[in-house]
Formats: sequence, C-alpha cells, structure tokens
Amino acid sequence: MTDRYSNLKTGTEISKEFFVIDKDQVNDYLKALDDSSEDKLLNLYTQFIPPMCIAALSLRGVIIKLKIPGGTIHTAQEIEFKNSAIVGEGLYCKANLILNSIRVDWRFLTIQMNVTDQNEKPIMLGKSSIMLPHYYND
Amino acid sequence: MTDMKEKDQLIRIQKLITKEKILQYANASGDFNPIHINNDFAKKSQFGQIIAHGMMIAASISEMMTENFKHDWIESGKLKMKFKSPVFHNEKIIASGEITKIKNSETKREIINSVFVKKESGEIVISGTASVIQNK
Repeated sequence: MTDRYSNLKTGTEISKEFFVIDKDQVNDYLKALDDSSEDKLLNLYTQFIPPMCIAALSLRGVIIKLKIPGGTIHTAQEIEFKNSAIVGEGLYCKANLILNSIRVDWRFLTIQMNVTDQNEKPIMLGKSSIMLPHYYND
Repeated sequence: MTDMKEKDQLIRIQKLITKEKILQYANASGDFNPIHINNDFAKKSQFGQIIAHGMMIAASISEMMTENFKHDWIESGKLKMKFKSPVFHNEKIIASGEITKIKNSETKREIINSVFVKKESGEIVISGTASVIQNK
C-alpha cells in the first residue's frame, strides 16, 4: 500500500488484522467511558464485547496502517452489528478504502470495515469517514 | 422497554467528559491522535484545545441503546451518525433518542430511532439514526 494518500485507489485493502479483545481491554474501555451497562444489565459485558469497543479497536488498525496524521477529524460513522462477540474470542477485521476525494484544504477518506469471528461469522460492518489535512503526505 | 410505540423517548445517558477520561479512552482504543491528548498540538488546531474522540462520544449512544434494548442492540443494532461539533473537556453531554418508526413483520419488528448527543447548551454534537430488530 502506498504511503501517499493521493495514490490510494478505491477498493484498496487498507488492513487485514487479527485481534483478541480480552477481559482487561473490555474493562479499560468501559472504565474510560464510565459505562454502567454492565452493572445495569447483569454483567452483559463480562460475556460479550461491547459493540462499540469492537468498532473502536477495528478503527485502530486503520489508523495505524494509514499513518493517520494528527489533526485528522472523524466526520461520520456507520455501524451494523450482526452478531455478538464473546470476550476473549479472536476477531478478524478487513478494511478497504471506498472513497478518496479532496475538497478545499481537506482530503476525505471513507473506509469500510468487515469484522468476522474465526468461523467467518459476521460480527460487525462499519463505514468510517475521516478528513485529513490536504497538505499532509499528499 | 415494553409496549414501545412511535414518539416514545428513550432513557437518556449523561456524561461528564474530562481530560482524564479522554486519555483513558485513548489508551483503551489505541487512538493517540494528538488532537485528543496533546495540549500544545491541540492549541494550534482549529479547535484551540483538546477534543474528545468522536467514537468516545458515540459510545454514549451505544450505551443508551444497550440500556433501552438490551441484547437486541449488540446482536442487531445499526447506527448511522454524523459528528457535528467537537466536545471539549469538562463538558457534559446528553445522549437522547426517540422512536420514529416501528416496522412489523410476522416474526420480527424493527424499531428505528432518531438519536442525538447534545451539550448542556443544546448544541448538537452527534445526530443520527439507530435501529434494532426484535423477535416477537
């Protein structure tokens, strides 16, 4: 994959990674958010990964692979949860570029993410739209 | 929620966003964009100060949906949202929602909601739609 954003074509695979979200990561995530769902819902998230945690950690792979510069802004997000994922379960996330355009001083990228479990059961589909300073690495 | 109908309001979620929480979220999510964690960098940005991660704020919508729809949210939830304005540290946010449509089929029903995150001032931070599918 090119390091120059202007060379990225739609359809380009941005990242394909395997990750495991364990109990500690779920706890850190919920603590950062002061999310009290776990208490309210009889320990729902001791068993299942919070769906937005999956979305956030999927996005992390994209941020790293694309070397997203400081000052990048997240403008829109679509998420579709297909099945719950179990804490400690291995997940695959494949991310592809589906839009690359420029408006004024900003480059707009839209990335589609597809998360499955190890048996290829769909877990989450996502679409992230970000805008990057146009001058950066273009 | 039982006997849900269109125009019902969802149970709201309120949060205070602090620098400490933003840093905790950066560590938990792996998103270390300096606009969220570096005072000097953020001061020079168009926002003039540190802002919270969009997905951190969006998580309050997910928490609200979990609160209202329990396991149906994590099994079948759909969320489509736009980030309208930044949230700064020490700002309170309120996630709210309203059922806009209920689509019934023989065995399932889809509950579609308009959802928002607003600041105490009423300024919209996130707007979007969120839906779940429930078995009858």
